[in-house]
Order: sequence, then C-alpha cells, then structure tokens
Amino acid sequence: MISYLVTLIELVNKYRSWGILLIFIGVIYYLLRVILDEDRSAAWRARIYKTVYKISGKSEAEKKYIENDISSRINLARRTMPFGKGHLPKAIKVEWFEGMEGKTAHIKENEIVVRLNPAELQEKNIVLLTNALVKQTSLIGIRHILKEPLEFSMDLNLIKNLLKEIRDRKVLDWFFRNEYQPAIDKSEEINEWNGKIVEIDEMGLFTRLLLVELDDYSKRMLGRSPAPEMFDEVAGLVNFLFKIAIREYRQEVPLEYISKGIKTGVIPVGRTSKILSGIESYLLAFAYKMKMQLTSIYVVAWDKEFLDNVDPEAYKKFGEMTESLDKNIQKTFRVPKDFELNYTCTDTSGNKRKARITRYVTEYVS
Amino acid sequence: MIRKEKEVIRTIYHKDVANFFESMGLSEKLAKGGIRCNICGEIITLDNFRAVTRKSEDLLLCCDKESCIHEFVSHLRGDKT
Repeated sequence: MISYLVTLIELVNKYRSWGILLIFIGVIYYLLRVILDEDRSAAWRARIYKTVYKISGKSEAEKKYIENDISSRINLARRTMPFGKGHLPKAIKVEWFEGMEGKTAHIKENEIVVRLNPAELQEKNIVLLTNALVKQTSLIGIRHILKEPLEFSMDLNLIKNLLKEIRDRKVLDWFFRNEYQPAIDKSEEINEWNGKIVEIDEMGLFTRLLLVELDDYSKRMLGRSPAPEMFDEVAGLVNFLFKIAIREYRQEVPLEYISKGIKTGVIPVGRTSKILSGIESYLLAFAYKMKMQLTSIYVVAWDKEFLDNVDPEAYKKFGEMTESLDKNIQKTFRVPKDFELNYTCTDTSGNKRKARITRYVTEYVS
Repeated sequence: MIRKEKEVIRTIYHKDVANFFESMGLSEKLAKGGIRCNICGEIITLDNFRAVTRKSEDLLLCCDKESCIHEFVSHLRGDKT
C-alpha cells in the first residue's frame, strides 16, 4: 500500500499536472470496473456495511454485510473455475426470507431455506451456502445415476476448489476440519473415490475434462431411465483419467475411453524432446483416435515451467510446436476446436507445471 | 450492467427465526416440541433450527448438527434411484 502511495507521489512530482490527470483517469477506470461488475461492487458494499455494523450494531447493516459478502466472495471465486467454455457452479444470490404479515409464507418444492449465523461466524455461512450452491447447480442431469460415494467426492472437490479461490484461511480451515476430513473418514469408498478425484484435479482434468464429458454424457442420456451400466460407464471414465493423472514418465496407459455413451481420448504432450523433434507422432495419434470414432479428443500439453530458465530457446520452441500442432489438427482433420484453456497444475513428482488443454469435437459421416 | 443467471438461495436471519416459524404457522407446534429434525430426530427449537425444505407438500426441517445439515443438503435433490 505504502509503495503504491510512493509511486503515485513520484508520478505527480515528475509529471505535475499530467501525473494528476493520469491518476484521475486510473481512479475513474477502477471505479467504472467496480460499478460495472456487480460482484466487485458487492464486495465494496460488504466492506461498507461491515463497518456500519461494527459501529452501530444494527441488524439491517449486519444483513446487508452478510448477503453482499457471501455473494461477492463466492461469485468472484467461481469465475476461476472453468467448465469448458463456462464456469462452475452457477452464481449465487442471497435473499432474506421475509414472511408477509397475516399471510402464511411459502417454501417451494425442493427449495432449501437456511438459517444463517451472525456476521461473526461468516466462514460457516460461506461454507454452508457453497455446499448448497454446488449441490443445486452442478452435476446437473448426472446426479441420479451416480452412486453416493462418487457423487460426494465430486461435490467435495468442487466445494474445496471454490473455497480455495475465496482465499480465506478461516473459511478453508473450517471446511477441512468440519466437512472434508469427516466426510472422507466416513467410508473407505468415499476415501478411495476422493483420492482419485484429487489426483485428476491436480492434473487439471477434473473440471476441464471429466465434468465436461459428464455434461455431454448427461445430454446424450436425457430421457433414459437410469441403469447400473450408466454408473459403470462414469466410473470407468474416472478410472481412465485417474490412470492418466498418476502415470509416471514414459509409462504406457490407455489413452482412449470407449463405452456405450462416452467415447473420448487424450493426447498428452509432456515430453519436450519428443515434441521438439516434430509433431507427426501427435498427428498420427489424432488420426488413430478419429479412426476409432471418438466424439471428443483432448490435447493436453504439460509444459516444464523450469524450461524457461534452463533453456529459453527450447521453451520458445515448445510453445511454437504446440501452436503448430493445434493449427495442423484443425487443418488436417477439419475438426472444430471446442475450447482451449491455460492453467497450472502439479505433476506426480510434485512439480508445478504450466498446462494447456484443448478440446476438439469430432463429427463423423457414415 | 451485465446481469448473469443466478441461483437464488433464501436465508433466514438469525434474529428472525421466531418470525419465520410464525409466518409458516408453526409457532405452536414448535413451542410444544412437536417438530423434529428430519435427519437425527432431535426436537427442533429456535436455537438449534438450521434449514427447511419442502418435499411432496411436507415441510422437512433440520437441526444445526454439522452431520445433519450435510446430509440434509446432500439429499436435497432426492432424485437417486
């Protein structure tokens, strides 16, 4: 904060009126960003109402603080959770239950109305509403076929990711102590599924691949009665991705998953030496997957973060080759690119790596 | 301002719990100890009440035990086979 002030003072001293004008434009730009972004403006409202509540102790100020703080924190956090081209879960709006005088209040079928804690226990409120939000708005169309331990594990990881992005240690501590740990201690099955989801998530394949495929699968299965085979298909996909997530360097694992309703494949691009020698082997792998009539193909490039420091030339070439691979896939196979996402992840050796996942959707004419 | 689709979650302010039971017409039943947690069966009071939902016209309430509220929210969708 002080360094910012020093910079601003230096700016004014150096450029006089131009410096003041620049700061003025900066302030206007920041205010416009806040005003036009309802979640950022809610964060400011929360700060103001919190101060008013601390001074006055008034209930109205406490309510306004609780609702604005929850909405802004959860909604800003969810923006960092990619789900294909969109975000997970849906944004939240907290509304206070108001009974009308002389009339019986109504609660809709399946609607959940929760009693919130006082402002001093806001971390409990955030965890509770994140729970409700994830369960209400994610895994739509797939929940009814999932067995509870797997469903539970997916929910736990979605909640954990969302709370991590809130970046409040009190909230995360409360969640781990009271919900996450007791949940995975509850049964061996939950523990096992959760372990697999965690590994998949750490490689960045949970919300960017698994949930995207499950969403597609749920659309394909729309209107069909749930059957045990459907769960087996989903479980098979989880196990397929788990093996990819934990595979060791040069270890061979299946890279295609084919069941009745899910046909997908992964092309990992992780070995710098391999891609630097040419993209032909990856194009051959793509052709092979096309031949197998997979409905979606993912190219996942795991970059070596340290490569930039060790060998900048190789690092630059790695980037160029992955770009070239993308262009060639689109040109050669004429498949549309559904989405491309950049992210960072942790590999099996615990190294942080930059990654890029690209999803291609394929169409076949018989 | 761009408005996005939002999931509205209704909440009860901690000082309005008595009003909530009043507006639902449940005050008397609550006072007699006639409302129980749908998960653990404990008698619901103004202090331990945590959540409510409606399933097939029945109002289901939940107490404030962490294990109960977790299960209550988990089974909310109730569309398991």
